[in-house]
Amino acid sequence: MEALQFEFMRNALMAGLLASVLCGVMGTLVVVNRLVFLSGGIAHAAYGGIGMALYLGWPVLPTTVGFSLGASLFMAGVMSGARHRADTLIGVLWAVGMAVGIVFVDLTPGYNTDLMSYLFGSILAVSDTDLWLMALTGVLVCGFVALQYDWILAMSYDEEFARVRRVPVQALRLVFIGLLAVAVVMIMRVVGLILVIALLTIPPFIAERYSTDLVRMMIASSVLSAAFTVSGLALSYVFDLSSGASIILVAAACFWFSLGIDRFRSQRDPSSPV
Amino acid sequence: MKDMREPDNAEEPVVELDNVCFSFHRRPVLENVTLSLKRLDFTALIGPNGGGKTTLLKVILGLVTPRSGRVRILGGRAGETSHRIGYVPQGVDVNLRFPISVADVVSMGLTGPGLPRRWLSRREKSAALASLDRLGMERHAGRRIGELSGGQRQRVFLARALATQPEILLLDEPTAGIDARGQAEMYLLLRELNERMTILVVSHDLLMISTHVKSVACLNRRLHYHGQAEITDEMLETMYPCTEGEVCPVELIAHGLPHRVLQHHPEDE
Repeated sequence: MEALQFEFMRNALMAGLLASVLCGVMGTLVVVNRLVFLSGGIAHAAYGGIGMALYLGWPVLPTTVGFSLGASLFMAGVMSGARHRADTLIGVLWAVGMAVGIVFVDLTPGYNTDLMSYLFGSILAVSDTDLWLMALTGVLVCGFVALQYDWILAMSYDEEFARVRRVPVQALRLVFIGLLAVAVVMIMRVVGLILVIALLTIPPFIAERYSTDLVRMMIASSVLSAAFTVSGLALSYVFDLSSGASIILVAAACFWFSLGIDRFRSQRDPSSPV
Repeated sequence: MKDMREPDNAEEPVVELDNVCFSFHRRPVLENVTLSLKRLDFTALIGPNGGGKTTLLKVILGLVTPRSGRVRILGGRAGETSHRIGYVPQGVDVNLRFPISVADVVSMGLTGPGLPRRWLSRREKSAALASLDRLGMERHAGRRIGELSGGQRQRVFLARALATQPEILLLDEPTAGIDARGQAEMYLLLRELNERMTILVVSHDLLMISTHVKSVACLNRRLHYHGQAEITDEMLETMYPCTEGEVCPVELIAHGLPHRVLQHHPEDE
């Protein structure tokens, strides 16, 4: 508890909790809509934006958000157009975005720590502004889900049926992917690229099989990722490890544990669905 | 080809396809399909696999846009009236891990155009559950959809379609994966529903065709409409295109209701 007397520790904790809510809600939708690969693409393509901002001397966060919004909407377009090859095209954008970022950084004189902080995160160096921006994103995301819940549910479970019911699936998906891009950059700023993907996928994966509906899955995922974040931070403080990696390892340990429990259960009761 | 049973009925057809063509990857799936269904028709759509049956349903729903031809559904353009159609798709085995209860799947039928309704009221929920009750599935309302058997899921999907209070019901092989008793119950239910709604059902089930439906449409890229529900040689050709020496289709029929099967369709004479 003595760790909490430091402001950076309190900010780190706050950032971790806000990221947990974002990841719990967005991660749930990402997992049930099978958009994990797209999220990875958005996160890596965002690198192009960081490089561009550094090279042109533009403010990093707005440039990155703009860049990844553009990339994500382009990917969304690709997905609705060439569905059967969407994964390949996302893979290309994924690599190109990163390469663009690296070349821009090469062209920028001097060593830049910003790029590293986006890769591994800088949860211990979160500013108040970052926290406010994350909170704002959280409000947007939760507002979107709360207002459009039945449409989102219909689109996620059975897109064809949603279209028959004349739910504007196309527009809904664009808004969702746009919000995802903003959320991913916000979370990345704090916990890093690698942790974004881990927190978006691991908690929802564990929560999915114990939840009877999406809302419960979102809440369970948020709680799980908060638990991972807090215990990871504690471990990193006690053993002087890097925070992002500690959080991921705690999450991964629970992931394997839950898989093990499942296997054990299905052996004892072969009739239960996996 | 018009339905001639009610020549004095001036009512506009609820489903009207005129020379509809559709291709998928330059392979023609539907060629010059013309079909007209009147209110309270009960039509079976039969044909071989790949004959375009599911595609035809999707054209009616506006999920795919034909290359050419005219489509009018319930007096409007396809896709603009799809919320008035109940659709029971074939693929009930998709997304089995999705965390959703049976009750929520059925409530999805209440989602509609206009503003999203956020959370459903208790009354709306109970209305949705009434359709679940009708299919004898109410005791499964709280279970996860993935825990049910294929036949049970089929019924839940029909309940979802009924919750939309449709004017037309489109079913894509609704009895696949259902046991004989369940099938019989489903036919009886469809017949009862037909008192209030037009039904178009994709089926391979000759028993159902010969005893329940009012008319038959054979689809193998081209559509052939039969105003009466008898099984003709031509239908057998469409459904079981086989050369001599292979399994004789007539034998398949002989186990059913031969006296009906052997009737000749007036058009063929």
